[in-house]
Amino acid sequence: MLRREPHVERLDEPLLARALRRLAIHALRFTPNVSVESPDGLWLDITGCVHLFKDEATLAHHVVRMFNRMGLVTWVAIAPWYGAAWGLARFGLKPICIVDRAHLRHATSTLPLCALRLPVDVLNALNEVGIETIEHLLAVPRAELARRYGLEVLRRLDQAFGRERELQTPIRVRPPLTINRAFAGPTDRLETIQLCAEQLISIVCQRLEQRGAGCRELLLVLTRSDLAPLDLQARSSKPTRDTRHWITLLRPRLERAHLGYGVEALTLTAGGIRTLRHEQIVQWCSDDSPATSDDLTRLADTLMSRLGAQSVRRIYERESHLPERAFAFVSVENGLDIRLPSVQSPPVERPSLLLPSPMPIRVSFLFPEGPIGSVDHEGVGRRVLSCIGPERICGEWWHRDRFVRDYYRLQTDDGAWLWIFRELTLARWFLHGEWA
Amino acid sequence: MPDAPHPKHRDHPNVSRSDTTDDLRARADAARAAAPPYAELQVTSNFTFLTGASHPDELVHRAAELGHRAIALTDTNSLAGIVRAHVAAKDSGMRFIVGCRVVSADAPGLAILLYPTDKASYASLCSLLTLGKRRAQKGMCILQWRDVLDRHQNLLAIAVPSSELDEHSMDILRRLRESFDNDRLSLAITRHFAQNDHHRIEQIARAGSRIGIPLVVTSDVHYHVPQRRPLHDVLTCIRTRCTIEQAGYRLHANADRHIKSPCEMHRLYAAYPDALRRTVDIAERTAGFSLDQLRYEYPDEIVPAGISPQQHLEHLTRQGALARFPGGVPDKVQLQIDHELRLIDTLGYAPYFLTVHDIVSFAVSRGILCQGRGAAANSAVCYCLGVTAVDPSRVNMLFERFVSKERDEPPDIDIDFEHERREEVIQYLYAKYGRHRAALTAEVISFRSRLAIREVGKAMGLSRDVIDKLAKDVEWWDTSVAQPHRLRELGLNPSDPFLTQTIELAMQLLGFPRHLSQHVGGFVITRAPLEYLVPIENAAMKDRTVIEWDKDDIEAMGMLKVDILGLGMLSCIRKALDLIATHEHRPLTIATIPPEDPVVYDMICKADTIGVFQIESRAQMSMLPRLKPRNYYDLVIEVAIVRPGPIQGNMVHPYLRRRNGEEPTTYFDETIRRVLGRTLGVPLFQEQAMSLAVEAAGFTPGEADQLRRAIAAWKTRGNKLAMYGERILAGMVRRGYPPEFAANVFEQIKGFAGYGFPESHAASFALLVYASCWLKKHHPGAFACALLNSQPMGFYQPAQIVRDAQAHGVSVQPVDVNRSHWDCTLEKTGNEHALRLGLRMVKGLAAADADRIAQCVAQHGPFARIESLWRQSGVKTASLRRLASADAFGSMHLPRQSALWAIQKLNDEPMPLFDHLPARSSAVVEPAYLPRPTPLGQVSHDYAAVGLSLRSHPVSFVRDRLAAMGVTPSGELEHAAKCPDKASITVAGLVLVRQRPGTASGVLFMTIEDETGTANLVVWPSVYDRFRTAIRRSNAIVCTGKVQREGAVVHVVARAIRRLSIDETAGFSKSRDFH
Repeated sequence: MLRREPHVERLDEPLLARALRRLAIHALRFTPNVSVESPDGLWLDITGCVHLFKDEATLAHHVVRMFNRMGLVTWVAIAPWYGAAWGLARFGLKPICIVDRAHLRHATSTLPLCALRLPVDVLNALNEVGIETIEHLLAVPRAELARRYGLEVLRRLDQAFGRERELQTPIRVRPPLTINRAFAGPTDRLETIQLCAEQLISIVCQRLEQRGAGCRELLLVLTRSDLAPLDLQARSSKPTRDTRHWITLLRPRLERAHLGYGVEALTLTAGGIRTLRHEQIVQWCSDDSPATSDDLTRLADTLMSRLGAQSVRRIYERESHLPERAFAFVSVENGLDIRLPSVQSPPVERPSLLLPSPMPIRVSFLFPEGPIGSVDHEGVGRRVLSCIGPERICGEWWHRDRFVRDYYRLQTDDGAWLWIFRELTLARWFLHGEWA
Repeated sequence: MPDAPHPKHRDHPNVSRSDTTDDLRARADAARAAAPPYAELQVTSNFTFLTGASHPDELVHRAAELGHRAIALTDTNSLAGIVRAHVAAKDSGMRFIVGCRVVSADAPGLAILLYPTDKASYASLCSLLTLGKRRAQKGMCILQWRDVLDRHQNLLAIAVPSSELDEHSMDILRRLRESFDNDRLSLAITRHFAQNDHHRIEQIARAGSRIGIPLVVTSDVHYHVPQRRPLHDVLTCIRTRCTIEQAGYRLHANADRHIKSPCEMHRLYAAYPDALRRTVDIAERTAGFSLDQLRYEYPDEIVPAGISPQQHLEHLTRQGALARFPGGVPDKVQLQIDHELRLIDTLGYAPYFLTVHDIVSFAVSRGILCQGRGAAANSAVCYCLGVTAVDPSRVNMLFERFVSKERDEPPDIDIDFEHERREEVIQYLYAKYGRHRAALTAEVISFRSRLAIREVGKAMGLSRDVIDKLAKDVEWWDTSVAQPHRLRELGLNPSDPFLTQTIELAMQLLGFPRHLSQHVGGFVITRAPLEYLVPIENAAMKDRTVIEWDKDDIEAMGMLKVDILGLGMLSCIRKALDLIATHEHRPLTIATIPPEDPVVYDMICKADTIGVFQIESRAQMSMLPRLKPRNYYDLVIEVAIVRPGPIQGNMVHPYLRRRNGEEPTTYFDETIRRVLGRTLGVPLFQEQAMSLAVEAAGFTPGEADQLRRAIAAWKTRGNKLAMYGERILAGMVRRGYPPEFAANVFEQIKGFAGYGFPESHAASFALLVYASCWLKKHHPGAFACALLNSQPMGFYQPAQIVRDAQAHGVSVQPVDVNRSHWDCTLEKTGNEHALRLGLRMVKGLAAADADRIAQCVAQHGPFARIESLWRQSGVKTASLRRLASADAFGSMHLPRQSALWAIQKLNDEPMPLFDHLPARSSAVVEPAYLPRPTPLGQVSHDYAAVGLSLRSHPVSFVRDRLAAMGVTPSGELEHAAKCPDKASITVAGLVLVRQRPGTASGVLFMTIEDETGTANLVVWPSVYDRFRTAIRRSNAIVCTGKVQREGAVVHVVARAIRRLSIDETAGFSKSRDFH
């Protein structure tokens, strides 16, 4: 028998909420009143919609089929009241369960009490005295229940059997932000297309401002007359609705686009829309004011759009005794202001220039076991005036380094300060850096 | 039966040492002669917890190898490791310097190393540390640098600056310089191979010359070889609670903190030759003090004025002898007493015996049952004093097993007290001798497999689920986790180097001290204040103080230690005797229980011994029908024989064969018969080994004891054994024995003398075995009641005790609020006594609530309604709910559910508006609308609430299903006709006990129980590996296998085991698991 461990991941509540909302949007094709019931379900109020699908069974089948196609296992229950439907969907015995008023009591009688959305302590108290199903609960006089467990139990029972109504809060969906323009005929003149694109960008940014939002992505689709439509995408690391900025980002793409015989229409869609209440619009800037962080962001975006997202990186310090591990790079795709761990620098001096990898050199001594006399590097010999050290740094054993290095600072006769080390396990000398 | 202590991963050097290791010393001398003079003065061992990465003895041995002149141990604010280092130094011929690194809260940049030069300065050092530790909570030490100034006389000091010297540190140095006159202060320079080494050392040197403090070289050692660096880094991560990736600058940059050879030191510090020489100077100045000088002194208030301790002891012994032997002291015993008193006089141990006698008298005066155990039972003097209970006229005594001239250390007496009243004895000791003269010994809690893997895994940054998998799977005694197939089984990749590195480091960490805790009952009592001998610190428990040394350290130092232990069976016996006195008006003591009752031995031979002392384990119960004890001495043998020693030494079967007459019992001659006759010629006891050496080879008894200890240690360091062997051969040949016989005898002695049982200890225990068996046979109700009231103890759960009592004809009544007290009691029903379960059996019920209820019932009579009980007693509804879960309202005619239903109406919050309403007097009606509970549900609920059920056994509910599977009820196993030997059989039941004795080559024994009886299973390692999860995790199993009958002993040898699910919640039984 094949034993496999279950795959376990931490629950991400916001992610789950967003996913459910997307599913709810899909369910809008069945009824306009859909609400999200965290953590695992949807409430569809299908009053008045059933006749569009012939009958309830067919509607249920459609729902199941739609979600199955997305790879989800779906259980559907249709009941006169939501409380009952909630319980039947989750604890009923069949994946599709359709119950009418007459059969409701019978259908719900064997459901366990958790089908009633009761709080845990009430559930435990009821289980303690052996009341485990709705049938058992209905047998107990209402006054006795209220006395012991409060009114919540009665409320949930009533919600399941229609004696109390529940309010639904359906989702509201905003239409996507897309604008298109069609030309009178196909044109292959770049200026025309650019001008039109700039106008579209400006309109989109106005709309964003009305919504109080900014976007991170703009997609410009060129509908070409003889070729397939061309997608041009521009990305920003922070949500923005700055027209100038977007034009700057989109321009290089447009310039390189292959227009074919001609472009007939332009469609601009904004993606990654996020709330952005205020955005500073710099009207004036004198030459000697320091660059604001917005400027840096724009610069980074522009570079990324020209060179590719991975080519623009930031450097940061790490705590490590090994010089080559004391720093690392991180991409600025997601913005410049990422939090970096704070690092305490030890009081050691490190050279201004660190070679990407140590270079072998030859070293000769004035006399055996004595100080270093001269250093031979790439064929150039230099005499050593003074030598400070050794500073011993061992490799990081948890990265399976096995080396031990003794570092020395050397002053050579041509005024340079070199940083060399002796690799003790190999008994060879290397140059690792130089002071400016 | 108390659990055997966990075997240590690493022995104390005193335990594993040999007497001399000449070649070790010779090598050390040679190394020292070849090396330039240097002594290492700053060494941190792993007794600076989570900082040092080597054991003290490892450090000392390494220094000896390299040829240091001397080595000091300077743990931070602690002297916990110095005894180990001292012993190791003696072994390897190394000079050891006692030292301590004092870190004070108000001088963070400066640590001070202190070294005593004589006893007085050592006492000052100890009291300094005691001061700091008594001020702080457990494990901490709060000192200010001025405290050092108050106690500086005759101490040498080295100031260690941690970084650059600032003004504050310079001030402190100046002040220290004033106090530490006579050139007693030095300033340490250490090269760390950091970038600013040169500059830093220059600065320190300048400061030293400005203030006038000479320099000295140290290495700041944290581990003994550079290969320990990874472990040291991991310890840093554990200490600072980060992972190795995050540790960054917390770790040292290099592996430089190891012990370097003197040549290397001279080369590194060639610029400071005076500082190098000063290390040896300091070492020589401390030569005036050694731990050997700490002579121990007994307290003296135990002797009345005017007479010497010895005289007092002899007087008490005479009195006691007359009391023990009212018909006159037998000659043999008198000779023994005289011999012992002479030896005690020579060695000066009289105060020790008097101290112990005083403790026992106190206990007896309070009616606390107590009994000495162990080697002390070899003493007739102890018997007369009432310390032990083994009668010298019935059992041979070998005093030298207890005290001998050659051993040169005071005796070690362990006394068992009733475990519930042990605290009274402890408080008496504190009150009598004072906190400053009596303290508990420490116990070094070290890393065991599970904790080591967890901590190292966390430090290495493994994910929680991987660490959990590794840790949960390792039984604590398991050191073979690194086996590839086990890793694969867990779903891990065995060739992942990170994983193997983690496991390797965890294995290295095993046995490292983690923290000090208080020992269970080892007490140290002195004449002079203890804090002059060893630092004292606060224990976690209130009102307890602990010294820094553990019992091996104490033994090495020759101090008086008395073990005040708790034995559950003593509590049980006393309670049973009290019950019998109350209910049957028959006052008895252990001494007045009628001895040698044949029906009691009948019961023992049938292995009907659940709940009885010592002989209730699986191994014992399968031995009893074979050995068939019929008298007291047989019980002594029974206790001793089911042990690793005789089993591994192949003594058990020959003994049984001779006993059953299958083999002739022959002795070589009269001398051998004298020694081995009582065990039919088969050596079983340590004392017999010693007696053989004495009688047959001409050893003195003291030398025989040395032989015994040498054999005990020969496995770890085989050494003088050869010499002893020759002496034995020579001695025996001299007395006329043939050489082959002599060699044979020596082999036998070697085989068991090390771990065979002391006869005296077995004899002490056998008395309790008989007493408990007598009580069980003749007063099963009182015995079961006392046993339940003394839980937790013993092998079995209350469910089995109750079931066994019922099988013996005791009727058991359930817990009831109107009838039960906190403890279980006997109730008179007609002519019989029924066992009424007490409120203590209800899980989660507080004793205070139970007492209040019992009081209310006593005052107002039985209650008819829960509500009135609730109002009268004022207990919270939560407690009532627990009682209702336990079905304790039966006398109110309220079954469980109805009671819970009624309680749910009650509200704890005060409702003043309703207070003056008259209580409703309507009769209680069991609500008809509540669903009926199922029988299985009832039983399951019983187990969950009380731990047992008086209704049916859980397995009875699935009997039909089991019968369909072909399962045989366990009760049929005893019928040879139905279950013949070697027949295939399937049995099922709840798992009661899982036991894996260390000697049985990995075999696991399980006991399962169904409604008809129990079955004993034998699981070989191959079967265990295949069905591991089911065996380890299931509450109930189905087992297929073969019947194995040997006389009256029946086992089922398992072939396949799988889980049995009995539906419902799994609250049924918690198996007791033993290694």
